[in-house]
Amino acid sequence: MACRSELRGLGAAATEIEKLGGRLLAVSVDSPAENQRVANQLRLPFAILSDESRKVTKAYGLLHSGGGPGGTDIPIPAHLLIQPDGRVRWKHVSRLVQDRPHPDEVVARIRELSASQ
Amino acid sequence: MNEQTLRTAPGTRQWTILAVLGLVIVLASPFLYFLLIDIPSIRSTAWPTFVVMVDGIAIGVLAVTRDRRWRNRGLLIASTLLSATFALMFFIGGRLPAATMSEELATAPDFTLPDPGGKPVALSDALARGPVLLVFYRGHW
Repeated sequence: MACRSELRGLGAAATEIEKLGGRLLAVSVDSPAENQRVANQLRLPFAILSDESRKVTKAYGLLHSGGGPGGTDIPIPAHLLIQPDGRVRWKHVSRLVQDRPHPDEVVARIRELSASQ
Repeated sequence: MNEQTLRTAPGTRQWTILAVLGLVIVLASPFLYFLLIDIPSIRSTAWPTFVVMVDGIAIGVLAVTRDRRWRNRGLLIASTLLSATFALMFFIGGRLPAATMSEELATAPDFTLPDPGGKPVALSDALARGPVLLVFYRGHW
């Protein structure tokens, strides 16, 4: 439920980054079919990618071992704003389950990026 | 005998009703969080729940100061313990492990993952067209 509210809050950020020719990519450890179901249900304007093997989550150092239902491994919530050259310009890693960056802050960070380009 | 008189005396029951009201307010307050979870400042802090909890406790304190009998004190103690439990669950139970990603993670590792249609999406392809906001989240449950 909490994570659904997070996804709904990302619409403005998706619109903002698309103005720069970029895109918002969400990553979950759910199956593509499950991601499709949620994207349809919430009418999300961005893609959810499926990291079922947790390889990408691990590569980013964001694995929360045993943090999911039934002791499954899930990501630590994080936002990373990546420049076209691959450098991470800004990131927010949650320290509490309910802690997320404010959508206005995310939009502001994207605008900063566009101003600097 | 004196106690018996007090228990049935009109005008003292109202403080117990007040103490019960305080407890009911405390019990109902966590639902506010879930009602208002789409509002970002509430999602991260649950502040309306805590404001309402403090009100519920204040009502219980008022009841106890007017009528110090143990049933009122018990109701106040229950309100306080419930509030403390919610606060602990929220701020301690919600703690996440620290990310093992280096604080200065300079460059995002490339990857290819399937989209909902099963089509592979590469970070490097997306970056060739513009910046990317990459959002890791916990799932849909």
